[in-house]
Amino acid sequence: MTSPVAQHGLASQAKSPNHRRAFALGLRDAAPLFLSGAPFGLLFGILAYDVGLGLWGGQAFSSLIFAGSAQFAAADLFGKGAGLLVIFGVTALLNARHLLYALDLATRCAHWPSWGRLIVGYFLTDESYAVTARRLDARPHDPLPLAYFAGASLGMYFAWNLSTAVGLVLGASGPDLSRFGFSVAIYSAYIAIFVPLLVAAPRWVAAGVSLVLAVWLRDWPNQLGLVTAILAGIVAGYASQRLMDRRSEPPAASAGDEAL
Amino acid sequence: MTAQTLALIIGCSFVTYAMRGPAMLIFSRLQVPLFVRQALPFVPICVLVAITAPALLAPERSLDLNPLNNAWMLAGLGAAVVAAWRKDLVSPVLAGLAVFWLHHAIVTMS
Repeated sequence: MTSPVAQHGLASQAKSPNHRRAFALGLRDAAPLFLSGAPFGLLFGILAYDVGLGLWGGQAFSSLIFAGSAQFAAADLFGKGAGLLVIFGVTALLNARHLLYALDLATRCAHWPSWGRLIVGYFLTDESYAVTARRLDARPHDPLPLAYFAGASLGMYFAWNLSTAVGLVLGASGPDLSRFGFSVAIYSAYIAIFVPLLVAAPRWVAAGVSLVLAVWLRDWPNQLGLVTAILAGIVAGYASQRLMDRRSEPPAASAGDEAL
Repeated sequence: MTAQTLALIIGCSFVTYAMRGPAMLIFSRLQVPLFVRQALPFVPICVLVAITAPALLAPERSLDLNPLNNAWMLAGLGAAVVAAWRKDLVSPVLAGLAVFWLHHAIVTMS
């Protein structure tokens, strides 16, 4: 298990007064996100119990995978009987946005040690990246200590795991939550994540292609229709982005123009 | 915990971590191809839409676009409207649930 080792490494990073201060600052800056993330941890706990992951399985999901929407998708697909390879593929695709975060942090925090990147990378989430990127934007010339990111990330990690635990207990002891449209909350959460991302025409194209194909191919075995819909949507979005970029480029000057 | 659950957790942990720590290390030494960087923003949208759409538009496996029957679709629409208006995560969830319960109450009464 990576997390206890990681926590030890991060804690030792925070020992010097400067690092301790940076750790506390990261923790403080990320605190509002702990609260907004808590309902989702709670929902995940309920879902995990509902799909049959059990108390320990559900908690292990949050403590070892620690990946918000990817956890929901993996648990949801597991409950629908999807094959492991399909679940791993969807998890990888859903987490691919972390590559962008990793790329940004690797560039702007080049002073972080390699061992630190490997450890804090374990805790890289939308929230910890958002807080850290905001800090980097605000002070672009100050080298940000690794401890700042550690504070923001570890706080999120504990808040997420605590809320998952509460959700699991609720799921195990409460009434049949499916009667209350509990799954609607999960899909509404997905909608809350992707709707604000629909900011340009190519993204609408990607979403539209994925939507139509996912509904059309829904009966393909092993959720292969889902994978096809995702890949086709990405290709369609990328292609339309390229098309738009090409159209917005100024026309190349001809030889005659150059002579003039 | 069954062997399948254990395999699921270990596999998902590995896949997730590979996109984080090692990526942070590799990207400090390696140039990422432009087309990969341009394609990445589409990925979360396509994954979430592809998971959500069949669940809301075909909740009983067959396509159902009738708002009188399909409370799931209406709940999704409610959540989408609120998500476009407010950028937080909680309000669309509450809106989706409210529409779903309201539909359920109206259908039960009539």
